[in-house]
Amino acid sequence: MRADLERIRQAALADLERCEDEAALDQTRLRYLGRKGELTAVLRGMREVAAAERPAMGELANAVKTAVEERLGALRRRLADARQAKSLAEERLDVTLPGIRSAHGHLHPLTQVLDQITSIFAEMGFGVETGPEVEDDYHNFEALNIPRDHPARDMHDTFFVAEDRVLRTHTSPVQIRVMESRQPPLRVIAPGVVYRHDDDVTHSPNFLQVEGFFVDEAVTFGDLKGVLSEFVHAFFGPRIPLRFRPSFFPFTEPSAEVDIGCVMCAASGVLPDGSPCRVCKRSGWLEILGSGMIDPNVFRFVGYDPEKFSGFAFGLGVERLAMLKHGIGDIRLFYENDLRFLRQF
Amino acid sequence: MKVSLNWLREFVAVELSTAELAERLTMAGLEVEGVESRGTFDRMIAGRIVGLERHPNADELSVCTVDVGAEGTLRVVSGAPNLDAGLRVAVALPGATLADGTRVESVEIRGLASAGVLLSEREIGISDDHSGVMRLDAGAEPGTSLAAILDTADTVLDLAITPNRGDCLSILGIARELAALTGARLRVPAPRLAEKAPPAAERVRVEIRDPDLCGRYVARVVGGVRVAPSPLWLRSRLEALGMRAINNVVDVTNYVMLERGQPLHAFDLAGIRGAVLVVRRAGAALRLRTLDEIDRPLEPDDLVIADAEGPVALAGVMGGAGSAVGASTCEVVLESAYFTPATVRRTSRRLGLRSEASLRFERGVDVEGVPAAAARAAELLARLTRGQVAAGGVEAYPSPAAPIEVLVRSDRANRLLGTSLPLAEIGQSLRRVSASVKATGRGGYLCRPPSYRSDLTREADFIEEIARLAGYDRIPATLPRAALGAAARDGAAASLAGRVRGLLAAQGMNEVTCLRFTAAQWNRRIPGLAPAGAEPVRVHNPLSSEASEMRRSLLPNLLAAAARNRRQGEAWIRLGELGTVFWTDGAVRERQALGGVLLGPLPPRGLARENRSESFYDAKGVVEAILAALRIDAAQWTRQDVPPFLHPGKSAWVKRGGEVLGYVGGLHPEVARAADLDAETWALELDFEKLESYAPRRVAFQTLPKYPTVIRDLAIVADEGFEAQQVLDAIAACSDLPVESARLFDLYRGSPLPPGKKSLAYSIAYRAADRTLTDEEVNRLHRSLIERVTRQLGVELRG
Repeated sequence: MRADLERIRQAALADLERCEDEAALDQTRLRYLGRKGELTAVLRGMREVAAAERPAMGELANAVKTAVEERLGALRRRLADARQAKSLAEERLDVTLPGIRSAHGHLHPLTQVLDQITSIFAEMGFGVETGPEVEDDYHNFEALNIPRDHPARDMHDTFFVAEDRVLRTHTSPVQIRVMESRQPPLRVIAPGVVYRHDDDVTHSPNFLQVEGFFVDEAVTFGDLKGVLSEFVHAFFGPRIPLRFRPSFFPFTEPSAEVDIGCVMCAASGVLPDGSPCRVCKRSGWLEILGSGMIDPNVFRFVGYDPEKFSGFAFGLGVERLAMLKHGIGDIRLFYENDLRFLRQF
Repeated sequence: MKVSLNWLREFVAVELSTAELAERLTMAGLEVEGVESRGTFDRMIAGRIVGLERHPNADELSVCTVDVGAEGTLRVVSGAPNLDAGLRVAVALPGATLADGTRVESVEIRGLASAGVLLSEREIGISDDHSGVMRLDAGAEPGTSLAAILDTADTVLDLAITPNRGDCLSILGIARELAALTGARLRVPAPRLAEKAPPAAERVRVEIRDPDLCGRYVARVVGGVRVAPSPLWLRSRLEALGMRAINNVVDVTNYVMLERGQPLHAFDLAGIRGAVLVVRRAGAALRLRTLDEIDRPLEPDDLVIADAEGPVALAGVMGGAGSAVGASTCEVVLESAYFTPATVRRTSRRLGLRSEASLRFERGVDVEGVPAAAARAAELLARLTRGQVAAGGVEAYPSPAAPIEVLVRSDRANRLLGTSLPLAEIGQSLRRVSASVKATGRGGYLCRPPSYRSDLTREADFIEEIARLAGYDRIPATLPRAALGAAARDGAAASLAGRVRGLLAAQGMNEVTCLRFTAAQWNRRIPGLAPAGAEPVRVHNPLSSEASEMRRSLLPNLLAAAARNRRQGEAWIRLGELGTVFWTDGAVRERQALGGVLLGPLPPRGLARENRSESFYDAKGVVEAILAALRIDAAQWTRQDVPPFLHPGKSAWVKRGGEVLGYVGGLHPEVARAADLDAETWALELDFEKLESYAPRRVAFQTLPKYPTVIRDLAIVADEGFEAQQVLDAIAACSDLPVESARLFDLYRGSPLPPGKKSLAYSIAYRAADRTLTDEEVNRLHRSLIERVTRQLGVELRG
């Protein structure tokens, strides 16, 4: 019997080695290990073996069976590996065919730029407030220290919708409305649509402005410079040159325009091809926002004590910043809504 | 305001280069917007005619040999009639540019080479005289540049003057400013007058009847005037500053205005009836013929200058035709006055007559400078016209302005600016801009502003001067220390708007920003979500009739944007906007709305083509996606009474609890035609503020279910007009059954169903919260549900 087992082991292993596919492996397994297989037949003769030898014979028979099964398993794995390797080697996609996706829309560039402006100021602790677009004369002009018949009204070409009602010419009325209803400290920005009676390459009859103001005890002009420098550097990059230049707004004093180095000609006034830069009119500087310390008269209109509180305010045009950031030459593109324009952002 | 540096130097020494000067002025708030060189006359020089012959081929031409100094002699062919040998003339060399823009080159004229041009005054650009060559003085050395001989080379700065600095609308004003900035000394020569009897007061009387509108009035009389063109120096200064020369009398008034900032008017005394000038409101006077020969309507409150019979000038705005200076004028009355800014502003704006003069009156002229300007004009007029100045001015100055004093605290200045400027510097700055300064001790200064600085009335005004003179660059930038807190009140709304914009984009909608104006006819056609009876908000002064009202709905401008893109060749268009709409119900209302428009064939997804165009259900899907993302449930869709600008059968209101959230639908074919769009254009508009109010602020977590769902289907056959929602509503009404959810998953028409019938298939999920439902249990529940739904709705179960 021992000899039989040894023979079966050798024959089975040899047969397995000759198998070239799964079917042959199955057949070989059946021939030796199946219910009618050779090893099975030998094991059936176990009862004729002397009782003393039985354990040894049983052990040997199991060893033969294990050896054959292990080999069988290894060969199966080898065949599967080969099959997988073959299919991996053969299966190919044209990865340059277009992906399948839902078409997405684009956010308007003004929305994106406004979001950026808002979040820079939000990081500095400014909250967002809004106000009506149809304003009364008092909030749009009077309380901002622009009385009737004041020449400063020339700076605002105004749309009227009723005797005392205008389309607000700036977002500064929100400053008045917030100060009327709350006490300092205030750190607020007020983005919104404003209107001017004007329509050309650099003027749109309605456009976006962001008003900002900071009122507390002991706010200084130095603080105005600090906060607005932070903003300009966050928006245009840390290396952009900037300057604060005296100017005039009826609702601030002292007042300052903020200029940045021209982004078109690298603040040189001359384009790389040697021609004069028309964006900055050769000055190398671009006006981007107006600012100043809130005028004591404005504080009096809202009932703040100008000896106790001080503050600064600023206003910036979102289209202007977007035009400079993206190199857009005509403000009307923002309102024509040409998809070829919108899809670029 | 244009500023000639030559002129400026008459009042103040300018030590800076032009670039430095421009920088200094700009950084002091007088922004230099342009710099122009004038009168340099490049490649134009003096020459002397040393040889003169007739042109061999043309009788009317001369051939001149011209000595041009170091460069030797030139041969120049000229057609001028006034040539003589030995004459000194102006010569343009090749490369020069004539006043009319012609470039001078070496040319051949009738067979002879000509190496330049002998110049007329018009060709040089100093007058309109083209009758012959300009003759230069005998001392003009050949080869000397023309600019040096005529002394015309000048630099002109173009300054942007802010409305508070009316005092800077003159050469003298800029000189004062420069003196304050640099510490240079200001020289203002007093006018030198050779006054002759009789006294002016015997020639004309002056009376101010409305002192609230005119603070001061001075008249000067100059007799023996001969009206003629002004000399070159005067004309070129006016032209350098952008004014046209007219005649010596008018030019003198303009010259003094530019120099002193005080507008003047010259009357022909012969045209003043009764020899009296009364400054008063127009009152009953109805019209005045102004010197441009136009009859101007007057309002009772317009300020006029009147003679014994009626108005002869609109104060500060324009003179009358009857007293205008003309060729026959021989006795002139010069008017110098302070008119209240508001009155000039009102009248000039109403009549659309804004001028250099009205600009200065509106900004406020120097009330103390009024007599000096009159004297200066009289001086010049006497000099230019050989007239005689009558003795003295005739003046009315009812209540001279009381000088004011302002206390300026240096510590307040440093506290507001965030600086630590030394006391001495603050004192010095204040002295430079004030008429007088008294130190009060403890860092205080009592400052008296000069009469021309009407903008300096408060401490804050002087603190601004301190900052300006120190230079903003010297103020250190600091970041404020501030208490945290004061969170944004509108933060929630802003972030919801941001989310909705993102959702629109995720639905393929391109965000647009439309102008907020529209045409009246579009507001009428598309009232949007405005309540019944709400009127459009009209603009009183629109830019055009296409923009005469504020939009009541987002839709008209969205349609215009879509049509624009359609014309541009875009096939598939999805546009969306979140913005303000307006209407009035007595009070003006503003509301945030969300709008969209969809049209055209859907684009392929990868290689997969969906061969269909945008449909009602695509537009509805966009709305559903937004409602779902904002967790606004229980929206109802109804076709009842859809607005007339929509297709009556293919549109719906979106409602919640009976309240309108918005609409979705196809455009009415007539609206589509008017908008130049396809019939199959789909529109939507939602009331964003209602979405805001319905969107829950907080999500309440639901415990995750422990037991599984069991799904059963229900298919019915119904008439074509049957609405799918009815089944869902009927299922929802079975609130005693453990139905978790139900949805429509199939719609079928055709064989074997008879025509006019359709089949709807629903999938219903059952789930109990406390146990696993058994099959038998669910079958029983489902049978009961089918029974109730079919009986209630009268539909058949599909076999």
